[in-house]
Amino acid sequence: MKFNKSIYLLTFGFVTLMPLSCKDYLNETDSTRISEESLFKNAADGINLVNAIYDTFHDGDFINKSLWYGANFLSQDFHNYGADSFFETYEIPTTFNPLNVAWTRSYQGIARANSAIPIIAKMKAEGVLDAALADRLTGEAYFLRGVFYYYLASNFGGVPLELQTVTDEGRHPRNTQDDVFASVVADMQMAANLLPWKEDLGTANLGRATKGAAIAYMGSAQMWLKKYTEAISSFNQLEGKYQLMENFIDIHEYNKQNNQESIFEVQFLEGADQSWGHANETIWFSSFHMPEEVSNFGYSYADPKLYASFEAGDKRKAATVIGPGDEHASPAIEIKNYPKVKVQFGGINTLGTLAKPWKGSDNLRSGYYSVKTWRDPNVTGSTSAPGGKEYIFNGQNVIMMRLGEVLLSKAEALVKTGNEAAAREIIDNVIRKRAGLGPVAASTPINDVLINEYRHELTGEMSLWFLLRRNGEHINYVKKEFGITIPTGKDILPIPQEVILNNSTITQNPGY
Amino acid sequence: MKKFTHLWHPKSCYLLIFLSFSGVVEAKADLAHSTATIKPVAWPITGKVVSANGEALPGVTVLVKGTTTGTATGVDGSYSLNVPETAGTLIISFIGYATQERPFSGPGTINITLADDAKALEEVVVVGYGTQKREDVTGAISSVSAAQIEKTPVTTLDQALQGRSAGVQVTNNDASPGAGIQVQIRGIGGFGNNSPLYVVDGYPVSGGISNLNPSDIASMDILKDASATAIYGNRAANGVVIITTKRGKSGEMQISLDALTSYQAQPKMHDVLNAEQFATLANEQAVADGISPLPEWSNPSALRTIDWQDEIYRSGLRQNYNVAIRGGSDKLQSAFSLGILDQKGIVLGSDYRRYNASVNVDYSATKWLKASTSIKYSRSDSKIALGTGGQNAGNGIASLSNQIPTMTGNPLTDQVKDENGNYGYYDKINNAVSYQDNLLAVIETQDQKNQNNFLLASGSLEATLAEGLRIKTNLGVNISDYSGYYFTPSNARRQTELPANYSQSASNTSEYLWENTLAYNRTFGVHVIDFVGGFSFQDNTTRSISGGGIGLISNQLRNLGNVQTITGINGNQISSSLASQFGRITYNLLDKYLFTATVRRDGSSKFAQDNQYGVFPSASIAWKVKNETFLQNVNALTDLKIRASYGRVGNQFGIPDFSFLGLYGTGGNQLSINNNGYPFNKEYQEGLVLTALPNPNLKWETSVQSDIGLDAAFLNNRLILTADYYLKESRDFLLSIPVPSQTGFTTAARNVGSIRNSGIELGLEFRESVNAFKYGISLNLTTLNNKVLSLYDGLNSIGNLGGLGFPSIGGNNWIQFGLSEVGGEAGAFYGFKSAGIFQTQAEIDALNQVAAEKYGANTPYQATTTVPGDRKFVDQITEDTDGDGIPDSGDGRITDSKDRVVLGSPIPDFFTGLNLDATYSNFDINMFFYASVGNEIFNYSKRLLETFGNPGGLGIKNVGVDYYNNRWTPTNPSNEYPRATRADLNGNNRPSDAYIEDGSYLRLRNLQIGYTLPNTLIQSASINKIRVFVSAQNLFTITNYSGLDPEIGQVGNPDDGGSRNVTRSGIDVGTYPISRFFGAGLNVTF
Repeated sequence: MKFNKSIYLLTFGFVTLMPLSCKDYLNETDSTRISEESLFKNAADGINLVNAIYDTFHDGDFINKSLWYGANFLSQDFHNYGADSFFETYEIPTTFNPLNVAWTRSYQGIARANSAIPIIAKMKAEGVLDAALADRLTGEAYFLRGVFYYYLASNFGGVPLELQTVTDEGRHPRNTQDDVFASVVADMQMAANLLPWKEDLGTANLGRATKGAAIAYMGSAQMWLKKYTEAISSFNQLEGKYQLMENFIDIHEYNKQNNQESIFEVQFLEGADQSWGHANETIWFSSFHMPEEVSNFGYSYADPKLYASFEAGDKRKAATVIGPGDEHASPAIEIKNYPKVKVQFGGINTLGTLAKPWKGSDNLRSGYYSVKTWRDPNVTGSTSAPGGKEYIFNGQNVIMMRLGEVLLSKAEALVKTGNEAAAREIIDNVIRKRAGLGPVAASTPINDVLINEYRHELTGEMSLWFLLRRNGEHINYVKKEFGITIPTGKDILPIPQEVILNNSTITQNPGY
Repeated sequence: MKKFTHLWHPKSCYLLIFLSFSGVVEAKADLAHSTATIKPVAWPITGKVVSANGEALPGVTVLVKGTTTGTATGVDGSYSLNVPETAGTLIISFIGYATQERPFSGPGTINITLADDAKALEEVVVVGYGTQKREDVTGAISSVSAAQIEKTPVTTLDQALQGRSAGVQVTNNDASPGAGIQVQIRGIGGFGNNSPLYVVDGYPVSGGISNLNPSDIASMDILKDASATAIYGNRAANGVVIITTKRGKSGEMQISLDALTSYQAQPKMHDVLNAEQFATLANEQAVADGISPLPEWSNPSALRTIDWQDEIYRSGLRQNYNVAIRGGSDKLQSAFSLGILDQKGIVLGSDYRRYNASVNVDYSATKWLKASTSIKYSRSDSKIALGTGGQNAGNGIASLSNQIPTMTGNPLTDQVKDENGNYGYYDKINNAVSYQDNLLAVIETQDQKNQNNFLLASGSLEATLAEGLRIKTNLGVNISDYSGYYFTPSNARRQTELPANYSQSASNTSEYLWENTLAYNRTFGVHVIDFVGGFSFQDNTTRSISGGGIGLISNQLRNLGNVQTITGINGNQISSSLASQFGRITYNLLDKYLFTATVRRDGSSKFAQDNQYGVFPSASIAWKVKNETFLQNVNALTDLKIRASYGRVGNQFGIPDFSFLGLYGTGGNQLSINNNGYPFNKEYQEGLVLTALPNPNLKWETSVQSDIGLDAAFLNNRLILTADYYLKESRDFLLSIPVPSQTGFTTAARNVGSIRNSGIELGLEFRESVNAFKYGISLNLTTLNNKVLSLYDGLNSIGNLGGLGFPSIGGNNWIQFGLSEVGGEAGAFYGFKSAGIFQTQAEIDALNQVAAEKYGANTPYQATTTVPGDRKFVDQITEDTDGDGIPDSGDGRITDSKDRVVLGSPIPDFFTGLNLDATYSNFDINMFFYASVGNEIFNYSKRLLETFGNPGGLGIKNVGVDYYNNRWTPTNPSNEYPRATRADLNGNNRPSDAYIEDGSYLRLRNLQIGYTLPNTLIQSASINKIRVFVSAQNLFTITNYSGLDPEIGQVGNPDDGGSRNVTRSGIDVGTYPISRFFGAGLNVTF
């Protein structure tokens, strides 16, 4: 009888439970990430959301291969050692991965900005963020979105404009290059209205977007749109807000980061490990371009024509390109101190010698190298003193926009609006004066002067080719200086193959 | 009301658990009273065992029921046995014959005729939540028996499925000891997980089955169509493999001991240049390629050759020992086994060792209550210092043929390792060699440990409430854990000393299952009804933690606390659960017409609240034609049944947890490469980002399957035929589809598209015995048609998902090598068609001129740098010049966008297994062949053998002898091999059909010859049976494939922890090769 009871109980248990779904068994939560409901309840979340937009710059290839290559290889002042030498013939394959990095990473930043803007508005409305902070953060988001579009259009021409979070499949076609720059102007105008000047930002926030940076990019974008008058008035707003560094060499000096001339600077940070196990805050930039004899890399080198093109007495030369037998112009850099130089080159303090230039172990480089990227004295590449550590990745910031560029842009805008005298005034009495040069001959055609100054002021930085293309004389310039005929349409980069593969509404640039 | 339900519901769950266990306690109490005592033996019984047609049967087991007393018949079928002086029962059993029981009551003669093999019909098939007689099965199910598994020695159980069953394709990913295996039932249903669900003794396991001991397996039943699998709902789309382990049988007691030792021969090797040839080539190319050769190379004949393959490959050894005790009384049966497998792989530094223990106990406490317990434990240690890969600058099998064959950097020695233990190394400074390292030193100095513990334990209690009505509760756990570390000491064999590197990680998965079922089985006249239904919960939590760093003060330390710089720390946990109800009803009318209907309602935590539940129904019918009167007298036909099924099942494997949510994350910490923060004023601040596009509509993948089959037997079951036509359409499979990156994301997880797999499965078995000679032939064959029907609106194709770390040197873009396009096969290969070698500059100039006229100056046909000796590629017909809408011309130049085409596919047209068994007197022989036909291989290793520039872009590497001797030179106008060039600006070695090869092969997987010792020799030692055997695996392989081995599965991506998917199948990146085993072994039963 006892067993029968158990049977009835068991049966009862089953029958009762059968129809139940035990729904709470499926209630699992993710403990590795955070859901939107639990977020954005305190101000730090809003700040972090915007911080992550800046993080977009921290990508292995973005600054270097996606931007620096485009600014400097296409202008032929610098060349790639090794595989990616197609820049010399402008035959950039559509599958060249840094193109896709430029595209993908930029839109990642744009999407981060697009998603941050409404969340911050909501946090402001709910009182989580005070109005001043919310405005600053919103301004930063608009600024950064504008910056990404600025470089996308500079590299590729027109790109699709995504100005809010994409909720459909995102197969939107390209806008025109002018549409994109117009959007940059609008974003920068919005940002300029919301952001503080650099001096009001506070030291702890050094590196964030400022009103000045927004105005500088706005002016530059207006020039792409040929709205030169507006550009001049934009640039004029910066009057007195930034000063040129007295010595040209100091602009990129390691111990003078975020200096008075710098308008927008991507921030990097030394970490515990500067070798292959490095953190995201460092960049493989300095040692990448330093000579193989120093860093074991030397993946770029300067064209000797650049070295020869400087006027005698131009102080910018030694701060831009170093040639055989030269000492390094920066007081922080002593060539003789590099471990590999000590062991293999008898500790000479020059970049090889005229008799034995440093062309790499395979003799395939020119013996001339970029100086502006070679400034962090800690970096030794994949070499080290016995028992020491490799220092491949650097923590030095990269200047994206500085007063020197703004002044030259303004000069060009003045020329385009017919005020050549004012342009020459800037060039002769500000730019060339700092370079230790006298006025340029009045007989030299003004656009040649402009291009010459763009080149010698800004080559090896993040803008030269874009400024030349904006000016419009870039194709003739390359023909004249380097004897290279750019194949039709190849003065801009191809749309990455993967982009077209995933969105057939995107058309390739006609040259490819 | 709502509140009441909420309170009652968990309580009722607990109540049932309590009740289930209270039953177990009672069962234990009963156990004490059932121990039987056996009296001493006294009386002899003799006799002879013959088959139905009068042949003597040797080796038949004759056992006194309920005891361990027994014997086996001799060559003439006779036996003699001493039995206890009480009356009892003899059990006479022999594989392939129906077991008989014969009572005895004193000494005497008992001759026995064993019924002719009717086993195929009597055979019981294990299906989900029950068993069915093979003759009553309406779905597509094939079975692999213990005998088949035991014949072919394998390292892991999944290997034993290869070639054994139609519809089941098994491919080793590589041949490293204990390595992963792809098991695909009826093709590829999606781009994610295509592995079947394994159910071990009723427990659906989440991982694979590599932890089980193959010798514990009684049978594997492979459920292939929806009718058979639908009871497993949203885990059933890839098929279900039901594994049943050996259990004790009442009346039999058997101790068995198996031992096998196999020697594994060194594998086939690539023929690469020796030091003299290499140095000569390097010197020749120095100027053209901008290499600075080492001064030592100027005298090539004086250099010492290092044959890297010979240094690293070795002969292997595999040893396997198992001991098992199985038996029981009427009430209590148990099976116990222990096993050890130890394998030393053929690549230095690869080892695998596994210990297995298993206990199965069944206890029939009362007539109506039965308790069963199954416990399986295993522990494995594995180590692979150099595995598949090395296609990039990393170390792997591919490095062996890449390594420069001479080392001159160490002033102490130019050997790999000298007698004083000094390792040779490459010149530390010269770029030509600087990226290479002494692989022997790398392997010998590293230290790693990878340990896995696996426990699968379940207990069930089954009560028969009334005639035909049973309820059962089953509670199980599956716990597995991994722990390991990896250490490399500081390495001074390079210009910059690399610091010591140490990482340590651990993960564990803890899962429980609770299932309750009710079964009802009754016959009402000509109607037979069989029902099973129930519900199930399964909950899984995985936790993992890992850390690593560089710099240790001593190479003896294996302690994260002593690491000077921590480079990464990770730790997380994730849980998922399933809640389900299911039911199956079968109805048998007149023993002619069979109907089965199955449904499962599955809920899964992987989906958003509104999408958690899915219903998966199926139905099937069968007609036992043979039982119709019109066939009754057709004697040649023993059996004939026609089956048809249709159903819908799901797949939730491979769908990551929480992928429906839009979640925010901060990425790694400040020190990590994947953080989302940014420094301001040189102070790091956290960043927060949306980690993926949210997809609240995410749901399981659905597979709609239909099957028409036929089972026939002829000649008194000596010839058995099974044939099936299957059609399987996978819909809404989850795909991380590439989305336009302008969304801010490059991929989004979506349910998209459909893939169809269809084909014919044939199984044919023939058995015959002529006096003492018995033989059997069984053949299975599967054809496979895979077709991508649709992908996504506007998306006609997708490339390979993830890369393989292929370096893209010069004009060689290896980022994309696959293309799965609508109308084509999933995972197809993609690249350029080659058109021989450019022989003259004039030929190049002519093509360049055409391109320049069309596209402007400096636009070449291929590249401006193309010179004679470079490979020419085909300009695909893409342009419509005459305006008729049909392309009729090439566009005059080679571009990635227009000139790449699908080059082949890793999916075979058919695959087949052929098994031959024969016994004559005491000898037996087994041969097992496996063939895969019609698949292609993307031979990346061949690319490496033709590539002179090293994968990192600097320096040079070794090449193949065939390439070296036959490469294009001005004096050797080869049309096959391009010139040697380090930079390869023309992209000679880009993905092209030059590396596509036919991957078909036929392999003798196994050959085993055994000899069973005559009874007269062993009877005195109270041993039942001794069989000795020799075996060989992979004795020969017939293939046209030029690489080391044509069996290539899915390849791991070196950039993301070795993940695999179908778009990276059949690519030979330098696969850990297979080779021959030669072994000898022993089976003893007491």
